[in-house]
Amino acid sequence: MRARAGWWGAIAGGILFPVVARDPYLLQLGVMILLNVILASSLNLVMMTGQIPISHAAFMGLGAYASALAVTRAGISFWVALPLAGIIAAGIGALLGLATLRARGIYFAMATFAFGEVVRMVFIGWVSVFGGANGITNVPAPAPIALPWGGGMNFTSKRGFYWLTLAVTLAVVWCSGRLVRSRVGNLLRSLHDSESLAESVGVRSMRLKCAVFALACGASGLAGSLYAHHFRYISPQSFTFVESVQVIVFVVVGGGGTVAGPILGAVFLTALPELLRSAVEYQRLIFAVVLIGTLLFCPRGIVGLLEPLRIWRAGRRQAASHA
Amino acid sequence: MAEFVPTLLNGLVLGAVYVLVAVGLSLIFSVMGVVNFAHGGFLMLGAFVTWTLVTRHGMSYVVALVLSTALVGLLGAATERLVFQPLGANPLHMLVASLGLAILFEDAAMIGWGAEDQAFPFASLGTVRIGEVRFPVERLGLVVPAAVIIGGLWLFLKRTRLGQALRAIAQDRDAAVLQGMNPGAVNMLGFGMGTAMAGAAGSLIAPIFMVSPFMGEVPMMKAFVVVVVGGLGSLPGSVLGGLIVGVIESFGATYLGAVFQNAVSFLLLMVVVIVRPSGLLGFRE
Repeated sequence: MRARAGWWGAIAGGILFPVVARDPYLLQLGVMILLNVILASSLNLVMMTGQIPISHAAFMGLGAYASALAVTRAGISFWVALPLAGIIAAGIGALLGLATLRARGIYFAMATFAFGEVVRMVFIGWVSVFGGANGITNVPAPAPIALPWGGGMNFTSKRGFYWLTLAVTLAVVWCSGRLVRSRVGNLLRSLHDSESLAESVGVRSMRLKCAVFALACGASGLAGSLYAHHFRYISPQSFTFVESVQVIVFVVVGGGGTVAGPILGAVFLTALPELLRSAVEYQRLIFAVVLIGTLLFCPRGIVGLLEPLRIWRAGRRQAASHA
Repeated sequence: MAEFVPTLLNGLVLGAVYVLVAVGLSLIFSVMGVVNFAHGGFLMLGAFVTWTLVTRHGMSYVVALVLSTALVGLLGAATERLVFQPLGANPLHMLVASLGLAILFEDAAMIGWGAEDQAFPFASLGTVRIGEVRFPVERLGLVVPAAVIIGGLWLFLKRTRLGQALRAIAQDRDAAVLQGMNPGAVNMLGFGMGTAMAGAAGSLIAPIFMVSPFMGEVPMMKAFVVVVVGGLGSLPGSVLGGLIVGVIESFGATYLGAVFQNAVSFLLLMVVVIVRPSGLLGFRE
């Protein structure tokens, strides 16, 4: 019950955030945090199988470019382009997964890394379609939608867009939460422990890994579409290998394999550099130190740090029920 | 056809650098089982230390190169002891830690040396005529120390007791430990040697390319391609892979344009992972 109260509190906080924080800069930070939550929660599912793709930002880029091109070139509505971006990213993810998921561990990591670099080079090199290093400018904001109780919801405002992003984020987190705690989640964990053992008891590992990888790529495609229509401008520099690595860092620092971990990691590590804005040149340095410190001193991440608190609470509850 | 010979030479020179970076990476992988994403950072630090010793302290280039290689090797050994050894049981965490170190080194260099490209004050050694084309001597000169270092490593691994210990740990860690080897010390040695080679590579390319905090990224990515193409953990594989990638890239740049120079080698990597996941000369598991 307590944990559930925590979730409802977080959702309420997320919804009310734009009411309290009126500064456009803070709202923009809020959108960035939510996008990173989408990326981290979806990557977590893949990392649960023991595979580390270094291509999550590339799939976000694919979604961003797909959506921006669909709207600016083909004149498709954003409301069609958003799911389309997810489907395209998931489709490419499925193909990449089919080709490379047979390779274990390090080879898979490097193949996805190479894929990310090829994608970025295509964005830069194919100027007539992707606009080269300058990217695509003037990506329009989503069209307003009419609300059933009259009036319209406007997405040119930072607030409206924040709520839209929150809705997508909640959907992704809900799905990933269902998966992590379901039988499928156990199957994913079984692949991490021993793939051959899992296969010998009838888990179709290749199909499962491909499906999860495609799903995660689709989620980052959605994040990419939102990114493109929020910032109204995309360029290949936003989807490099460093960004892909950052998502891995969110998962590890927050605590992989749990629902709350990647979310905490994304929120904490996206907000942290902003808190340190007075020391701009040390931001990335501190980021790196936090990462290595987490690995060395609390390898289970932020979630692991909260564990004693949970045990203490459970103990108190038990004591209360005995009394 | 006039372009053919210089393109080939350029490819071999490029390949020699990639081989040097890749062999270090491969050595670290075979001893510790980790892909060191901070390898480019060690390369960049090597270049900056050499640059500082030459421009600020007036040291001769050769002395600076040797000193900087040793310093980077020591830093590597210390990093292994402080960061990787405590994480020893978890390869995933070691990989992520090396990603963190990559960011750490890059940022530290930006704070220490600034983000701008620094030119190396190096007088050209002149050119040699090859057919109808002139080729700068310092580019060819790079191949000699690279070959000496790799040859030295080969002899060390094959002929000395320490080298045998490294190979034994790489082949079967448990069996080697049962024979009385100290895995921690061997890890430090392997990581230190691997990073020293990255430092040497950085010092060697410093006079040809600009020195900057980001200069390690591209050679490191190429080294990934090289080790996967050649087979992780195989020294001859790295040499073969490095020369293949260097030549392919050089021809790609000449005949397809600079942007596709990079795309070609990454496509090669993906094809090799799909068709022959253990690399050209790697062992199948």
